[in-house]
Amino acid sequence: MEDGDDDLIVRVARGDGAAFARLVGRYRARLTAMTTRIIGNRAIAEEIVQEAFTRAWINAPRWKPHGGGRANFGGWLARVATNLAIDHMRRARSVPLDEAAEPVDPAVSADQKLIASEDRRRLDRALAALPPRQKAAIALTYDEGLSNAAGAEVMEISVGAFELLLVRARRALREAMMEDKAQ
Amino acid sequence: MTPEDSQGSELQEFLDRLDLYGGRLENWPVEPRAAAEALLQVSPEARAQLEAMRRAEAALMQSPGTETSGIDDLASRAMRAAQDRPRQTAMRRLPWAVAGMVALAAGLYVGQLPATGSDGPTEIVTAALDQSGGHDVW
Repeated sequence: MEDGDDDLIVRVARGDGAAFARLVGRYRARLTAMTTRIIGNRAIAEEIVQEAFTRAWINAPRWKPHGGGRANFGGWLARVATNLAIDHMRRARSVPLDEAAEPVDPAVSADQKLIASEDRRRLDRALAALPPRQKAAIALTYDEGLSNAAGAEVMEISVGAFELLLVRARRALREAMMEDKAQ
Repeated sequence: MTPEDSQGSELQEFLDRLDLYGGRLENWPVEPRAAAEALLQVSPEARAQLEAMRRAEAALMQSPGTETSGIDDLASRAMRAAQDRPRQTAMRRLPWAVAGMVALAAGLYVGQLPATGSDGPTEIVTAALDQSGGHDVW
C-alpha cells in the first residue's frame, strides 16, 4: 500500500532521505510543469522546484498533518513553488521567448502537428505577456488540475479573486488565438 | 432593441462565461450552457471564439515539463542545499526563547531599580545575560 504524504513527512522529519526521495518523485513532474508554465524557462523552473523541496526538507519537523494526506502537503508545496515563481517573475519581469520550454508535440498527423505547434507558439507568446499571478492561476488550473477553490487556497486569495485572474488570463489567450487567426 | 443588438449582448454574455468556465461546455452550469448552445447554432462569431478557447486550452494541456528521471539526484541536491540552512525544530528556537526571557527579566529588574549614579543598568544587564546558561544568543 502506498504511504500517505503525512507518513512520509514524519519519516523525512527524522532525516529519512528515502522517504524524501519518494515525496520528490510524487510531486516533481507536476510541480516542474506548473512552475515552467509560470516562469517560461525550464532551467529556472527546476531551480525553483529544488528550492521548494529544500524548504520542504527544512520545514518537515514542523509539519502538522491535517489528515488529508496528499492534498495538504501537495497544496503547501504548490503554494511555495507558486510564490517563488511569482517572486522570480517580479524580479526579472520578462523572460526571452527563445528560452521558453519547447513543447512536446503529440504523435499525430503532420498537419495536426503543424497546427498544434503554431497554436503552441501563439500560446507561449500570449502567456509570456501575462502578469505573473495570472500565469499562476493558469498553471494551477491546467497543470495542477486544481479547482478554483483549491487554486484560491494555494494562492491565498478568495475564490472570486482567483476566478478574476483566470477570466483575465483566459480572455487574453483566447484573443491571442483570434488575433493570429485574423492575420 | 434590434435582433443584431440582442445577439451582440448575447455574444458578450457568452464570451464572459467562456472566459469564466472555459471551452468545455459540459463543465458549464446547465442554464448558461443551454443558452450557449442556442447561440452557437446561429452565431459564427461565437463558434469561432469557442474554437479559439478550445485551441488555447488544448495547447495548455500539453504539459511543458514532465521529466521524471533523476529524482534521487533532485532529492540529494535539495537536501544538500538545506545543509547551510538549519532545520526548523522547536529545539533550535530554544536559545532565542531563553534570550528573550533573560532580556525580559533584565528589563523588569532594571525598571525596578532606583536611579543611582553612573554604573548601574549596564552592569546589571550584563550580569543577567551572563546567567543565560552559556547559550550563544547573539
